[in-house]
Amino acid sequence: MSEIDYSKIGLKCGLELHQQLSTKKLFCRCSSRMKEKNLESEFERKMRPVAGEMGEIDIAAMHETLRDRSFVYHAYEDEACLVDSDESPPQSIDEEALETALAVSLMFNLEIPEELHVMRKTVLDGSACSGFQRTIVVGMEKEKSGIKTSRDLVRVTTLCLEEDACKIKKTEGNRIYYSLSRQGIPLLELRTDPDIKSPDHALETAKKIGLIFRSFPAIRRGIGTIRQDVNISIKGGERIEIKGAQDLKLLPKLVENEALRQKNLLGIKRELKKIKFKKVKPRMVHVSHIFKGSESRITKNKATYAILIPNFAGLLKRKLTPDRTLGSEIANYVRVKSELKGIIHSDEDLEKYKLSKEFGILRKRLKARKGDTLIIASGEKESVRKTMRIVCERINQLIKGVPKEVRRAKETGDTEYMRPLPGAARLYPETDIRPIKISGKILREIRKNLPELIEERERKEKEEIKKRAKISDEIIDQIVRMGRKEIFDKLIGSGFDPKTVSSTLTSTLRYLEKKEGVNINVLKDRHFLETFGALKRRRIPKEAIPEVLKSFADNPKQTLDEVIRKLGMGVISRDDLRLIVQKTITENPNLVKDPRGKKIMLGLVMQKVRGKADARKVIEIIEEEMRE
Amino acid sequence: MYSPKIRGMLRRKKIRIGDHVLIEKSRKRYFGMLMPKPEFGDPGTIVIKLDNGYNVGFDVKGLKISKAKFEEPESVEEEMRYELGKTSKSLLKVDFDPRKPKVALISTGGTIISRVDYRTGGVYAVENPKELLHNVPELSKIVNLKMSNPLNKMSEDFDPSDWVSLAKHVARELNSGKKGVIITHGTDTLHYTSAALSFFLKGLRKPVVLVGAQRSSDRGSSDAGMNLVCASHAALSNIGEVGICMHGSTNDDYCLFIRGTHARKMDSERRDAFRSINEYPLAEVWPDGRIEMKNRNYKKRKDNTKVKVDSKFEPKIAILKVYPGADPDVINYYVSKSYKGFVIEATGLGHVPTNGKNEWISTIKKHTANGIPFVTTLQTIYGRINTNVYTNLRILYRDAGAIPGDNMLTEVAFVKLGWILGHTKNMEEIKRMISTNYAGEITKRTLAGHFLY
Repeated sequence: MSEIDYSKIGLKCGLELHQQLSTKKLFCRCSSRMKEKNLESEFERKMRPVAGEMGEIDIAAMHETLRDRSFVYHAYEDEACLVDSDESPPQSIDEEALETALAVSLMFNLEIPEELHVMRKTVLDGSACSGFQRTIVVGMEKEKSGIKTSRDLVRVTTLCLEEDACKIKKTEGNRIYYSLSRQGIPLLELRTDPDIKSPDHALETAKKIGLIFRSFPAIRRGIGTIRQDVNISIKGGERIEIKGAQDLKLLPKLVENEALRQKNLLGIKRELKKIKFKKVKPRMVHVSHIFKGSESRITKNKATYAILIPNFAGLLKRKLTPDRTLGSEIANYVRVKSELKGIIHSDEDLEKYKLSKEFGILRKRLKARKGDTLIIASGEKESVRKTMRIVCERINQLIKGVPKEVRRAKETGDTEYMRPLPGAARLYPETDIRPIKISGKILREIRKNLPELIEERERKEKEEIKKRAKISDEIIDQIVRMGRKEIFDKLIGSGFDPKTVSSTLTSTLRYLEKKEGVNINVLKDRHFLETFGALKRRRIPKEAIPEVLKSFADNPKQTLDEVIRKLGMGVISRDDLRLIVQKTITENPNLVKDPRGKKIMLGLVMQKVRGKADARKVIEIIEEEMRE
Repeated sequence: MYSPKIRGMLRRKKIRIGDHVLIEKSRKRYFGMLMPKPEFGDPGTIVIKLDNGYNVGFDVKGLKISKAKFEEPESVEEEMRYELGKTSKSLLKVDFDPRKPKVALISTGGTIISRVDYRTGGVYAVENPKELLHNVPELSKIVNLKMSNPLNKMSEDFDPSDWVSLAKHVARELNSGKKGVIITHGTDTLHYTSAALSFFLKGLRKPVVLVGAQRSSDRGSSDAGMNLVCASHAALSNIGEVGICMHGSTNDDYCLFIRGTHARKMDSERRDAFRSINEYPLAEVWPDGRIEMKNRNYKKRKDNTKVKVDSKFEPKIAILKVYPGADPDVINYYVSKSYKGFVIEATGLGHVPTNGKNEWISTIKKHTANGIPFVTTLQTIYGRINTNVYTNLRILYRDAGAIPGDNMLTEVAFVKLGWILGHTKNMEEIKRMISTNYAGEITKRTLAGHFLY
């Protein structure tokens, strides 16, 4: 693919980041840890549309939809109370969450309102048990609000403190299961202006914002705790909101693909204009008799209908992004908006469906010319009618260019249609919570206690380590990034060898976590200090460090003696070691002459002693014995 | 309400609530719509709805406000269409069906009948039955509601004169041929009203269904809709009594129809707060119209009988609760304020402090002798008064002359005593009437399943 000049196509891109806090829930005192242990209760609710700005017809239709739908909520012991199940009114706001939000607001140089008003945002898909989410603006844009990047300031529009929604567990027909554990967890929602200029710039901006977030102790870390939505448009295109990008690394790809998709859609628009393409109507022809006897399971024994799109041949196989043709894009709309799984069209490889012959007949039957496209769909008549309407509607949108919509990020960096772009959210005041006055005094206090930016803190830490120990920059980097500077200092301070300490704190721990699945987070300073103490007093060999730490992690309450006993450790005496070496030599006599024999022998002996002997000592003995 | 200073400022600039305004403060500018002051906000703070829909408050100090050109906010149509999901069937406008049975809907205020103005967040009472159909369109498939609004009060503000006018209103509706009556009501004192109507409506043989909501109707999860639907089914049912119809569980599955003299609000928050005490609820009412009877002891509907209102009521009744160390002198105070009768919420099987310096016996005895009745009920809520098991009980009910309230709820005994005293001051007659069952308030048998139903 050729490089796109993003300034030339007028790329506009903004981010919307959602970051969870690790405090209690925003309006009750439930835990926000989402462990989902001990199901405390399960209950089932319905949702009703609520009057307001909605038109009469909309409401009526919505009643129809919601009538048959029900929501089952799971409440876990520590993580949901009657506030979450919408039985009790909200409690007061979590102070720590509020303070964190205000501090973050200051970090981005936003204006904090003098009085905060909690709002209710209507949500009727069941993901908020009450039918609304609570949300508060805690930061408004002013001059120089935003984040400095390598390419100018990316302005920040607003910062909100809101409640997270329920996580969906499963769907069974018209019944949707939700867990209440995530609902109500404080969420910072930060929106930038569309100041991002390229895919890489999007990544840089997101990373920088993430770094600022992570400077605060009340920020939750880990998978799923930060979610980013991206807004993208190019000149002549439309604002597209992409939801659900969890992996930061995906950002540039998403921006790139969306810019490309809009560019290609605009290309199609120009072509259609050139051929004076007219809007099409979903005039369906019943063609079951052609397809009834087909080999294809899609059409066999089903009602099949066809429509003809004049002068459209070839366009459906046009690539919008590397992974997506216009045909697959339209099929995607059909999947989301109707009951059918898709359509089949004449730009496709019809052999794949074993429908070439049938399409041939269809072409004659409908007197289609070469430049016309044929589209068929099978299923119940009403569903097919709806599908064809959706297809034509989407094709007609091509005349205008890019339709405004919300798309879902896929793991491949591509996106797919999710729903139309929502209008301004329906927000109305939360009458159960008083407005919160933010005095100058509170602000001064928060400003005074602003945390050091994590970048700054890490830089200082690295310099400190450099002064104390001679280890590579790369290792220092790892120690700091993993937040192990403190224990590193303690171990070095106790006079342990910096090399062993640093490799233990980096590669050993990483090995234990990744390869052995050890929960290294339970390891406390004591465990490290005792392990290194044992090493110094030669109670354990260096090679045994991973095993000792693993044992500590499995049961953090153990004493060092217990661990050593359990592992059958304690250094093997020189005499015993010699016996083992001798035995190994008799078992493998040919190794004595092998040039690599010493090395292999070492491996064999070490396997037998399993960390209970120092490798250097073993080599010494092997050398002595082999010489003899 | 904004402070006088702000009101003056707005008046001078001819800015009204709902106007689009420009706020200028410390060289920053904000556009938005001027909102009314929320009840408990700081009156010196101006509240604006920003273009993104959020409200924020600005301290009036150093602030400049002026009218701005109003811009129509973006249409929410598309979002709606999304929320409609995969149905796109357009529906006809809803209205009540004149072929459906006529039921009176008497609105007295409260959460259930309120709606929210989404722009301002203010809460208003619904006055037009059609508006109700907006929220609960399925009502039109059940009943033909005729709405009236004789009262608009929070239920904590109710007093006995409200019960009287309500009873008269109900009788008029029923006697003019309605199949039943639904009364929407705040939940705080709903069970007092249900008890009062139970005693006041003489010869009642049609359903009088009181209904409230615990969660406001602006939210998608409100219990108001299902409660109204079930109340409509109950109003057409075969039960010719006064009862409360509200959620039976925390699920949106069924409502309980509880006899008006056995209902009690047992939780300040939950939607299933109203429970039937000391007897089974009359029925489970399901939103699809199923009515499962849970109690065979009820009056059946008889459409051709007329209701009479017998609402003579003596409101000077006090409810007192005894507790360790409670001083009986409070009774003397009430009597000096010309209270005519007392309901005493007693401990255990029906005790009051009987011995020691704070004994209540002599005070009760003294006033009983002067014709002031003392009816006892139970702090335990569940169970029945006993007059024999312990010596102290015998002293209270034989020597002092207190009247055991059997297994009546305190609230019911209070209403009943007021109603009795509206009719007679004769102590023997009062005693007889207290133990007479007028509206199912006394149940002769207690079954195992009654407890915590």
